[in-house]
Order: sequence, then structure tokens, then C-alpha cells
Amino acid sequence: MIPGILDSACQQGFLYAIAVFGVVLTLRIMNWPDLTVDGSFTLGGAVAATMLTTSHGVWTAMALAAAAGFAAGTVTFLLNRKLGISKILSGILVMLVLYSINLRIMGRANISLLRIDTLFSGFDDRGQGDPLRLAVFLVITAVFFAGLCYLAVTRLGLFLRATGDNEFMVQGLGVNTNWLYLIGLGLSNALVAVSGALVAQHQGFADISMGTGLIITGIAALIIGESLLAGLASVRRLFAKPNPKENAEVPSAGRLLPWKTFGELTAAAIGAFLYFLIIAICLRLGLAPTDLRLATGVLVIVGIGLQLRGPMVETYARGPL
Amino acid sequence: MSGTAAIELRDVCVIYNQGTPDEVAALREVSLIVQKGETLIITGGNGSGKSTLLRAIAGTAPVKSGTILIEGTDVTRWPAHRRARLLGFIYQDPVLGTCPNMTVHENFRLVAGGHWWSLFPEPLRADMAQLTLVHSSGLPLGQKAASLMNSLSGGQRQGAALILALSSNRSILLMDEFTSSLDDQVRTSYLDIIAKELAHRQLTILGVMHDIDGIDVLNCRSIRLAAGIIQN
Repeated sequence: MIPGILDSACQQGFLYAIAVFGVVLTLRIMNWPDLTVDGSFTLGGAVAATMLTTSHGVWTAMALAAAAGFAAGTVTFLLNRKLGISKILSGILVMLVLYSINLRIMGRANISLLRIDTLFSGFDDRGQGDPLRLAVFLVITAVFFAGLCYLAVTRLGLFLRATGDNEFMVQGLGVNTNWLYLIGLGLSNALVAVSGALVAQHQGFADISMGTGLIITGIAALIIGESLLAGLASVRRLFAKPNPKENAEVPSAGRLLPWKTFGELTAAAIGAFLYFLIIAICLRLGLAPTDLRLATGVLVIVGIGLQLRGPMVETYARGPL
Repeated sequence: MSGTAAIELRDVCVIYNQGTPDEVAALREVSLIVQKGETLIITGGNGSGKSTLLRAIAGTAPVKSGTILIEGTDVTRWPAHRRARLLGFIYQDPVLGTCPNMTVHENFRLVAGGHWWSLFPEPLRADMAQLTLVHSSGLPLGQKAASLMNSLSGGQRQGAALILALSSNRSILLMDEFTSSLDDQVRTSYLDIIAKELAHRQLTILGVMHDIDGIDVLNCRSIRLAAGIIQN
């Protein structure tokens, strides 16, 4: 059996990791801080819950949730690229509009999914901490992780990354970058909506406020994961022997894979798990639930500080040359 | 005439900040023809409208009036990305011509053939034409293939941007003072690469520079621009 605190962190972390993948896609790959995700997470939960309570199948509900998320991303894209509204404001506006739309979809502020067949109904008999139950969550996240890693090695993935890095260069290659932004934003919000649909089924209800602060949760998780991976890389460099031939050698094919993107996706998955583990530990230690936002804010500040000042710390650790 | 010219401008006017107190006429009824296979260098001082002329052709400057033809096709109303299918562009700042946070290999894969929407994995090898250009440039781009583009020096990045533009197989190349930040030795080697490419295939070049000293290797014609008007 897996301890309760670890089991809870794994379950929540794995499901929220899919939303953090969406945040990685916009924030890190497309260089677009998209605040739509707060609304599209709830949208996914609202669409799935409404479909499930009206006797539709689980997979239909999930597919519609993803389509609704893609549509939300499309609206943000249109506001920015066609009306010229800034990226941040476009996201805020869609997030605001989605609050009312989500209420319209659900008809009330909360829909219970108790005694309704969901994706996780088959595992209800198994108790908390059951490894098989946890494996299901792991497999769901792994499927999305593998899909996004595959996307990163395709030509479409290459152009998505290039558009976020230097749009002028991609336009200079004769490509209409509007299509790439549409795909990037749509896919990101579809992932977030699917995550919202899964979380609603897991917790047994969809709530109008379930997506509030998701962008900060996503950034916090991402930064925790990135800080951990960067820290491990620093320690490795600290103890590694210098290789004078390293720069003289032509790199092998394996080194040409998009490791930066793989690293960001890995950081998202690990970070989501660690974020919920840290939150669970804080609650266990007596932190008031109302102080969770404060704790998340401190986590993000410390994480960003470590990312920005980490190289300086490493230089001090190496000592004088 | 327009059927044979690679680039033709007819009475092109470009005005920045039109209708405001900061209104500037950067180009005033400019007409010029660049024949296929020709190298034309436009010289002029700062603020003469040289870079604006290139941007008007590339579609990134607001053309108020006039007509722009590329290989006989009126492209005046085309968006920049559509014109880019006919034109290559080398910027003065290599940051604009490369993706700084992607590896050298990934930058080269971008200009290799294939549709951008392909969902097949990208090959982990360089294009043969690109390899030939990299080899002739003497740049250590093969060894740096897995390094980020922004880890290269300014000169190396400009060389990479030049090779990327040449290997994109466009028959028209616009060059915006691309040698201005290079030392004499590097500048000569990069001009040699262009001269070899000119000998190898029919390439039309329209470049802008402060002066044409030291570019004899390109065997070019030059005209002078001042205050948005062609002088000779």
C-alpha cells in the first residue's frame, strides 16, 4: 500500500500534469502567457459533467471537453491576431467570458457526479493507496507525455517551437504563423480542458471555481520541476570531469533530439506531483487552506529566484578559479 | 519588361506614421528594375531609405502607393509570408534571421524541404546542400550542431544566417547591410561564399550598404539613394 499523502499527491499530480503540459505548450514553447487556461479548465469539467449527467458516454464527454477547450483557445487567438488585443488581455477576456459560459453550460455552480458512471468508476471498489488504481493515473499522464514528446520531434513540432522563438524567421520561410499560433493555443487549451474533465470525474463533481488560479498552479509546478532538474544538472556539472574534446566532436544523432522540450515536459510532470505533495505536507503540518495561495506564491518566487540566481550559486560553489 | 525582371518597383511611396506630426516619407516614387541573375547594391547614408526599400519589397513596410512586381507578379498586396516564398532575406542583425533558443541543427532543419504541418519525425541529419555550404564556409557548425544558436559568436551567427538563406533555394536574395558588423577577414570569406553561389546558379541579389568598397567579388551594379529618392 502507498501512504495516503503520497497517493493523494500522485493522483492529483498526474491529472493536473496534463494541464501543466498545456501551460508548457503556450508559456514555454509558443512564448504566449495564456490566461485562458483558468476558464478552459473549468470549461472541460463543466462540459464533461453535463454530458455525463445527461447519460452520454465517457469518451463522448471527454472528446467534447477537448473540443470546447480548443474553441476557447481559438477565441483567444482571434482576439490577439485579428483584433490586435494584447496576448495577456485576450486571455483575461476569454477567461472572464468563460465564467458566464460555464455557468450556462452547468445551469448551476456545482454538478455532482456521485452514482454516475465515470472513467474511474471501475476503480471505486479499490481503496485509497491501491497500486493498480495509481497505475491508471500514471498511464493516462504517460500517454499525453508520449504524444507531446512525439509532437516535439515532428516537423509541425519544430515549427511550433520556432514560431515561439522567432516568428520573423518562420514568416521568412513562407509560413503563415497564424496557423501555428492557432494550433498551439487550441491544443494547449484542449489539454487543459481534458485535465479539467478528468479532475471533475476524479473528485466526483464539477465546480464553477475549480479552474481559479490554475495558471499559477501550472507555473508553480513547472518551476518546481525545472528547478529540480536544473539543480540535478548543476550537481552533475559540479562533479563532472572536464572533457576538452567535447566541443571538437560532431554530436551523435541522439544529441540532436529536442531535449530542451523533453526536459520541459518532464519538469511539468515531476513538478505537478511535487507541487501537490508539498501542498499536502503543508496542510498536514497545519497550514490553513486559506493560506494555500500564499504558499503557492512563495513557491513560485523561490523557484524563479533559484532559476535566475542558480548559476551564481553554482559559481560560488565551484570556488575561485 | 516586367516579364524578365526579377524585381520591379513602379513609383513606390512608403510613409511612416501617416497623418501624425511624426510623418516621414521614407521612399518617394522610387522606380527600379533588377534583372534576373543581377546583383544590385543600393548605397546611401543613414535614414536614406535603403532598409525601407528592402522591407517594402519583403512586405514589412507600409506601401502607400505604387506597384511591386516579383518575377512579373504584382505582389503589392501580398502579406510578408507569401512574398517570402519567392524571396530570401538576410538581416543586418543575425538575431532576426535565426531562432536563438533552438539548436544549430534545428535551425538548419527549418529551411530543409517538407511541409510545416508534417506529423512525421524530422530526420536527425543535415541536408546535403547545407552540408556543402557549411563545409565551404569553414564555420564549425557541424561540431556545434547540438548547441543553441545563441551560443555562437555574432560573426558565426551571421554566417549561419547566410547559409540558411542560401540553402532555402530562393532565386532572389535581399541583403540588409549583412556585412556591417563583420571584420574584414570574415566579410571576405562570406562574400566569397555568395560569389561561389552566384557562379553556381542564377541568383538575383538586391543588397543595401553604406558603401560598396571591398565587394568587387560580387561584380555588381550600384545606385545611390538619398532622402528616399534614387540619385543615379
